[in-house]
Amino acid sequence: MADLRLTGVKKDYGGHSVIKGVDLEIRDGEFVVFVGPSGCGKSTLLRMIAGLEEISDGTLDIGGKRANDLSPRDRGIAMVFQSYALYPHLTVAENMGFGLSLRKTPRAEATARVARAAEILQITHLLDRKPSQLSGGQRQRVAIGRAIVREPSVFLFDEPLSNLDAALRMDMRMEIARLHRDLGATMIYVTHDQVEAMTLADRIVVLNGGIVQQVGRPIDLFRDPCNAFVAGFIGSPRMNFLPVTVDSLSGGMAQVSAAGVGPVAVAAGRITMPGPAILSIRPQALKPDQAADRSPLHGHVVLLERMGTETVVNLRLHSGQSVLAVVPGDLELQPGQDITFSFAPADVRLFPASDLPDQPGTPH
Amino acid sequence: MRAESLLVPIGKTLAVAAILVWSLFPIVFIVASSVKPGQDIFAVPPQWVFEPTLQHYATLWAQWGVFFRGLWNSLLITIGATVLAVVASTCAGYAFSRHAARWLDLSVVALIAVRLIPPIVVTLPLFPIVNRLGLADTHLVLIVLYATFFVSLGTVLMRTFIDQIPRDLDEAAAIDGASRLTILWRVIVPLAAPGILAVAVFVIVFAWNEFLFAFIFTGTNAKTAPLVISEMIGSIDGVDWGVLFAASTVQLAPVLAFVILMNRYLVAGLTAGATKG
Amino acid sequence: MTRPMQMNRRGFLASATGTLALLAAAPALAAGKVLNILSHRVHQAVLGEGEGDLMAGWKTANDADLAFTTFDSNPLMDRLFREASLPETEFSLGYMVDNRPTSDIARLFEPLDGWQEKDPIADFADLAPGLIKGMTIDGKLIGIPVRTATQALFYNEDLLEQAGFTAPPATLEELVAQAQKISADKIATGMVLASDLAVFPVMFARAFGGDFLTQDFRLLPDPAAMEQALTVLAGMFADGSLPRSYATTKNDDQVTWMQQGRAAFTVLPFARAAQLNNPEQSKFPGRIKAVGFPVTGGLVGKTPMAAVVEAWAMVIPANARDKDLAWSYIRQVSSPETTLGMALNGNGAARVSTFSDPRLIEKNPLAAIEAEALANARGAFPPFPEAARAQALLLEEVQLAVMGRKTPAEAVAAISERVAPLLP
Repeated sequence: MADLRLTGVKKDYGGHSVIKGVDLEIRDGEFVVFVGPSGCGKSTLLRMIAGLEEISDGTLDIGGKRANDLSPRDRGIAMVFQSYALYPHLTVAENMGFGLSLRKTPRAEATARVARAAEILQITHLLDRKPSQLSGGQRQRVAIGRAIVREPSVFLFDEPLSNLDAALRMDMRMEIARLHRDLGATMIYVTHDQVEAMTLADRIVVLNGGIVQQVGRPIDLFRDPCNAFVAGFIGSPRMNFLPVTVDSLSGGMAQVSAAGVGPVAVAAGRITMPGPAILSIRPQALKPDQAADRSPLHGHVVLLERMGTETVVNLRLHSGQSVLAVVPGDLELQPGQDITFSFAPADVRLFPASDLPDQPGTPH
Repeated sequence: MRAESLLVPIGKTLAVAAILVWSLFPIVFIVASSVKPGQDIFAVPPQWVFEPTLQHYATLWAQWGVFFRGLWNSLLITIGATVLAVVASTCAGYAFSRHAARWLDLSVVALIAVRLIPPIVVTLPLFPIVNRLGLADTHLVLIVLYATFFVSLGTVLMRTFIDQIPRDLDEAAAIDGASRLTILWRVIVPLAAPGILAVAVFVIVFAWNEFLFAFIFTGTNAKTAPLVISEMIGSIDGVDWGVLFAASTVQLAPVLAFVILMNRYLVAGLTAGATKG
Repeated sequence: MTRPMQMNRRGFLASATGTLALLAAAPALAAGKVLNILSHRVHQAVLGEGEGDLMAGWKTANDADLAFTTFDSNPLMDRLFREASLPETEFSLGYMVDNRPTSDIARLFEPLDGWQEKDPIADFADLAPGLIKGMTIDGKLIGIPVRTATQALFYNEDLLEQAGFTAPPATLEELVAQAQKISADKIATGMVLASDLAVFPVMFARAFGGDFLTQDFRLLPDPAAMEQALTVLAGMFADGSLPRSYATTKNDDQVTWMQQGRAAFTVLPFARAAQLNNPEQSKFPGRIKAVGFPVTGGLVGKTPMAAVVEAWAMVIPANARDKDLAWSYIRQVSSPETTLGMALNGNGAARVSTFSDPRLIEKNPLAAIEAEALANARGAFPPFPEAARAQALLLEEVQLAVMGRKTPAEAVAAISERVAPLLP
């Protein structure tokens, strides 16, 4: 069994707190993605699970046993590094079999396991090469192969795809998804790319500033972010945030308004008092038409990105606020042209003004 | 333009020739003199054509048996010092590279500072101590001393080399199940081999030729070849130059052979880090 | 060559173990006792080995063996004094040059007068009295002379004949004239002398009846003699009968120049005759001969030449472990028969009578001349703490005078002024 339980896990570097208390349960066979902007502590958390960083406080249980003081080799884990960390002086086969040779696995068995992993990853023809003779994608496969050969109960991935170009990244993403399906092992995957998180994860853990912001299924996070940070981080293009004023509250609904917006009644969410708040609207929730049950947004087109299947409209509201809208199909508009978009009150979320994240890292 | 474009290659050729003559002349002179008949060695004008003779080598063998004992001692001491210095430098370099700490940085400075003190300052006070410990005239004392004097430079060098090996490799190996020592032996050492070789060459060339410590701390048992050669030079009953050059040739040969053999790795080692591999 | 990078671990371990075993193995000597001796290689060599081992009888009688640790002269002195300043040294016997024992150094060594009284050396009076005097510091005898190197005038008979000379010079003036003619006739350079040794200016000064520093520390007892000496040397340099490279000429150059026939005269110890005439090294084997260094014409028959002699003596460090065995060794080595044996092996004897032994005369035709030179010879100057600096100052002034940068009179005045403060 390889379920993980983190209880009050903290990490301090000489008084500087990096992980500020994480509680998390990961079930056996689950694919969990840690996501967040750089410096959020996601890699540190992963390295703590791997045993590469000491746990300052709290408990880590792996398979029901306390693992805080176990050395990495005794945790039953394998890790794939961003840099691949292949041993340059060893061949691909030796790289993959390195852990087995350290554990004195009989040669025949080791060879067989390496061959099997190589077959899974389609790198059998590369077994005799040195890492320097491989392309980036091939190196990545070898790094994953090295992890597979160990037959660990938990796989750890530390931004494994960030050194690959876009096309390869998509291939490898599918590859990893397939592996998870085939191997059924627990996988913890760190990335700053919300697309990877959305596509791979059973559950996503959004981290910021060493604190878990939200844990949940990708679609739940997309639909129902618990705060403006998660709202801004999940989804592409980024969520629009409009500063609004809550005029009144009643029956879980808030009456909000702003220059060029509303007044309109939306779900109050965490808002309990009238005053300033943030209205968040997904770009996909904006439509270039008006209907009685939709609330209008007036502005003019600043920039137009016509992709054929969809059109990204960058418009400026009369209040001076920039807003992005993504409209399916091709839309013929001219920059400077006045236009009115609208949203359904059910599609927006209201967050306290104190949530307003100072520019969360945009996916790239 | 034409003249200039001709001048550059000519200048380059001349410069290379000058460097070659400068560096090869002493070696050629020593080796050639060792097979010249005695009367011709210092003939004026120099004799470029002569009948080679192995007479000086025969004399060396017959009269200076102690020289060959010295060579054997030099060999043992050189091997011992090299192994010791390389092992210590690699371990220390690894520690320095992988564990950042203020006191460690300080001790690096201390290591370098030690090198700035003239060896004789440290050496002479050691003489009574070495005698008291009963280590005078043993191979061990020179092995330890030579190694000690290169551990500082060696450590700094190895640290630089190991710094270039990504830490990810250590961590990958740790996850693969390697202990610290296993990481050092199976990952760091193979990757730092050019650095180890560079350190080894420094120690080998130094230990093989060293005179001062050998003179102070040895007598008969561990007497090294350079000491015997110095006796040949200063003999109060006159220098037999042919024999001296024969001895110098014999003394020179192994180091020369080693450096030539290792040249490829050595250049790679000394320029490592210039480009990323 | 093996492939160094591929050495396997077992092979490495095997050789490392072998090395350790070798380190552990001490020299195995059969005899019950060992006398550890610090010396120059020549001191060991002249005692012979195997069949010709002059000490064989002594070794048997004493159930002892000799373990020589040899160094070149200066390192040897350095090591000897360092060993003698330890709380205890395993070297019970050392060889010391006679220009070294200052009062401070002499105190590190065993006074030998008591040993000589208790267990005397055979025919002690036969040891050259001047040498004994040189080893008597502050009234105590600290070393027994064992080897002498007396300076002689060497000449290349061939080159002299080419210039029309049938006999070597009998006076200093003749020497200068012959050297000048040989240079002028472009036969060879007249004379080669090293510029970095005090021996040569001292010899020239003594040829005029003067000196640099007497044994009782009188500086320039006859300044006029030194001035004449420098005048002669400067003249020889000016007319080319000293090498143009005089300023950089070293002792070893004297030997090679003579062997190659590049110079007709030089001043070297008598013992160098063998090397100068060695057919394997010399282009003039058998043609390079020696005479005593000549005095100036006016002194011939009145004042004999006081050639420079360097002597080695056997000493016992005061902290030595086995002084009895060391003294026994000294007695044996100093005995008339061992002294002769060593002389036959090329050692400059410290006993006057040895030179008149027919066996030596037969082997060494220069024995009689050397004996005569030794009879009046003395060290270049006595030992004192600042001797090295004094020598450097002397050489500096001599060079300036020889190369014509100073007049001989100015140089002599400078020597007197600069060296005086250094005297004890």
